[in-house]
Amino acid sequence: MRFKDGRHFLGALLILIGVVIVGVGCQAFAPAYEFKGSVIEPPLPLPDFELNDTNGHPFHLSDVNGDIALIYFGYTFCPDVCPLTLSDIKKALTDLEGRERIKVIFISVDPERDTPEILGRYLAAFDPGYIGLTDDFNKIEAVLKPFGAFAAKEEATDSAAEYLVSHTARVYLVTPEQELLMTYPFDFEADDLRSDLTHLLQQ
Amino acid sequence: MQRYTLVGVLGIALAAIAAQCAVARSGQDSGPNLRVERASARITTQNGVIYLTVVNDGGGNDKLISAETDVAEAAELHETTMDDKGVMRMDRAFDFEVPAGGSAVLEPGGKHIMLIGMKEDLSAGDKIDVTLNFEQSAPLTLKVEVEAGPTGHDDADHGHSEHAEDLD
Repeated sequence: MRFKDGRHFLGALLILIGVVIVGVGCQAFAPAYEFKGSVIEPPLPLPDFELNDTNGHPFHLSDVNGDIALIYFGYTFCPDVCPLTLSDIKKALTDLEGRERIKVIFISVDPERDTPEILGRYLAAFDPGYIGLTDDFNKIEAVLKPFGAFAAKEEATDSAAEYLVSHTARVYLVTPEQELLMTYPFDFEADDLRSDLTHLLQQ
Repeated sequence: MQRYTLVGVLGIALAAIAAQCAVARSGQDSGPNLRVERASARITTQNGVIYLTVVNDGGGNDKLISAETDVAEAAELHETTMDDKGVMRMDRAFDFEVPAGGSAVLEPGGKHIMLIGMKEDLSAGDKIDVTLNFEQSAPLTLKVEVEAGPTGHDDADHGHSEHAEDLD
C-alpha cells in the first residue's frame, strides 16, 4: 500500500498512536479486582492461638507459616451445615493452582464428641490435608472471640442426638500475615471463594 | 309391587352412597397425591443427611411424619435455622406439611432428614433405601443416591478414590 503523500502517512501514524494511548490508558484505569467475600476493612490482626490437632500435638495459627488459612468452626455430629461447608471449600480448591499454599483448618466446637481420632477420620473423608483442631471448650471459646464467632451446646429434646451445637457458620480467610481479611457466609458459592483465592495467590 | 319399588330405590340409594365413598377414599378428587423429586444424601463418618422434595398433586393436605432407613441408627426430621446474628441451629421437627397443590422442600440449610449414627460405610453413587411415612398417604419407599460419602469420596475429588481401579 503506497501513501499518496506524507500527510496520509502522518494521519495514520497519529491514529495508531492514539489507539495505543487509549489502550494503555484503559488498562491503567481498569477496575481493581472486587472480592466476592465480605471484606474486613482494614484487615484484623489475629492473636496467635494454640490448640491440639488430631495427632494430639499443639498447633498454632503461626504454624500456617506464610500460607493462606481458611478457618471454620464446626462439629462432626452436624449433618447439614458443616458437611456442606466443607464440600464447598473442597470444590473451591479442586484443581486450584497454588492450593498447596492454602491451609484448611476445622476447629471443633464439640470437643466432647470430637476426639482427635473421630475428628481426624471425619476430615480425612473430605481431604487428608485438612487440619482438625479439638481442645477444651474454654480454649475453643477464647479462639472464637477474635473471629466474632459463636458456639453453644443445645440439649436436644426428643432426639436420638443427646445434644446439638448452635454455631456461626462463616468461613474465615486469614492472610499469610495472620490477619483476618474476609469471611464467607453459610452456603457461599464455591466459585466466589475460588475466584478470591486465585486473585490472592497471584499477588 | 310398591314394597319391591321401595326396596329397589333403597338399594340404588345405598349403592350410590357406597360408590361415592369408594371414589372419595381412592383420593382422586379430595385426597393428597404425593410423589418425591430430587432426593439425594450426603454422608460423613458420623451422621448423614437426606434432602428431597415431596410434591402433592392432590386435592387434600398431607404431612411427612417420619422416615426410616436401615443404614443409620435413627432417622429424624430436623430443621436448620439461622438467626439475625448468623448463629445456626437445628431443631427436631415432628412433621413437614405437604399442602394440597404444594410441596415440602427439604434442602441444605433448611428442612432435612438427619441420619444419626451411620451403620455402614457409604460412597458416592451408593443407593440408600428410605421409607417415608405420611399422615394421610401410604408410605413411599425410594432409593436415594449418595452424592458424597466417606469412602470413595465424591465427584469433586479427582484421582483420590481408591476404588477407581476396582471394576467388577
